[in-house]
Amino acid sequence: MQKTTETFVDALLKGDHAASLRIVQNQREHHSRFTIYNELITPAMHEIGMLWQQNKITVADEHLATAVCDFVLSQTEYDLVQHSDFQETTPKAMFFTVQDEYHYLGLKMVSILFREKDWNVKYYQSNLSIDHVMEQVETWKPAVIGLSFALAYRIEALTAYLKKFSELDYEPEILVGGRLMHQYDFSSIGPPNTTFIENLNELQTWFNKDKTIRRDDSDGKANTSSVI
Amino acid sequence: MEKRIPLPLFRITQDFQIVERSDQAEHTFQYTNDLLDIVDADSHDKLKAMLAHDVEQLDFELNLITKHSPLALYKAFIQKSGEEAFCLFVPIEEQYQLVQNQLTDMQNRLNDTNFQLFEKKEKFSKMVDRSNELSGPYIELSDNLGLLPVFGDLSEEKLVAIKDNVFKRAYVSQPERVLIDFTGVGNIQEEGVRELKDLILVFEQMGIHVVMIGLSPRHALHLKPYRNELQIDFAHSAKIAIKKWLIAEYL
Repeated sequence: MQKTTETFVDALLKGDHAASLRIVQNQREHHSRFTIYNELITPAMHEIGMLWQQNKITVADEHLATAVCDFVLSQTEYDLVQHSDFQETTPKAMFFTVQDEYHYLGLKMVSILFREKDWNVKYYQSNLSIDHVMEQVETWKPAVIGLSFALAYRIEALTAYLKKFSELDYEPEILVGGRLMHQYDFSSIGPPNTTFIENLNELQTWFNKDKTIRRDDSDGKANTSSVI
Repeated sequence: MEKRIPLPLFRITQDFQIVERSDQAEHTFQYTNDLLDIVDADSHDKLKAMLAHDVEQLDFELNLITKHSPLALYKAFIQKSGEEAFCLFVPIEEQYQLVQNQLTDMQNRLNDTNFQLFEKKEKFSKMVDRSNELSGPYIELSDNLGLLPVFGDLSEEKLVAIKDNVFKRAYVSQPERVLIDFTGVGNIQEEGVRELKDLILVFEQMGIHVVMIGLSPRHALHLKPYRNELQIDFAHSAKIAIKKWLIAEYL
């Protein structure tokens, strides 16, 4: 997919919605969403970050590329719309970006992958205040809350969110994503059921684990099933 | 070095130690001797790589840590001079932030609209399919006579939608004749005519005779090219056709 990534980066930086979408749609004929997100879109956005590091593009170029990529991602989500009839038993997942955090593409991909797996998903990209987020969490009671952060100086904000989650009267699973995950030790902050996810492969691992637990769930408590 | 220049300006050594700074630099950034202290961690590598270039003058974007913001975008202009370098920082964050916010808003709105349109389109196309299915009911008038009134514009999609039901019903009741009533038909599309021809041929092969009724002159013009290849009868209206075949049957 190397060659395609280069073409895709090129189209994103030119702001060419049509070409970018065409590339992804062509890939979609042979590859899963996961593969495309993991092997095309993520490397492309990394490459764009590198180009800024090398002074080959400006932040404005990056923003344009992000906007086009966002558009393309939305398109890959459309054919999931028919799955939007949820039943009460469908597990719920809520995703949001930390306030003032504009690196949202990763989280958006995660939210779409959850939707693909038939989760009932709410995804907030807008700049929600912590109070607003907590209000949503308390009324909707999602089983999974996912958030991401990419900027080192926002770590205090992240800590504030995690602290609030540990005060909830139920125990949702918390997923925290972002490229900085390996640089910090977060084990001391956040509720015990917090998982830090650095990339989509780790998300896949989490999905597999979650599947096992949920299979057990129907029989009783987690990991108590005699069915293998 | 001119200290009163209205922008942050630093004179630094090769290892980023600040030798001199402008008043504005003091005003904007925390006081430190190491320039890297006021550069965002993610921008350190970029600054080092840029300064390692073998050119005297360069400009590039850099994220800096100011007294007011933990992350502010600046354009750095560097002039190397022997062992030292002059670094001038021009803020660009504010204009970007404004445009970025607007862009994000517009993007969100566009996505929402796209999504709603998509959902509406799905709903609409289901309604059209349903409406097509209902536009050609097969009615059993007697053991020997069936009626197929067609409603609305005659399109390929419509005939495809009604065909299944019509053939199934006709096969079960095995009439001698089927009256296809065009009274309720508006415009005829060329693809629609071809599909109609196929429908008639299937009836013929099932041994069912087709009679077209209620054709307007406009309809007739469309069907004329197929007149010779199809074994069909024509009648002016439902009234005449019913008199001829239905009432005759009971006399």
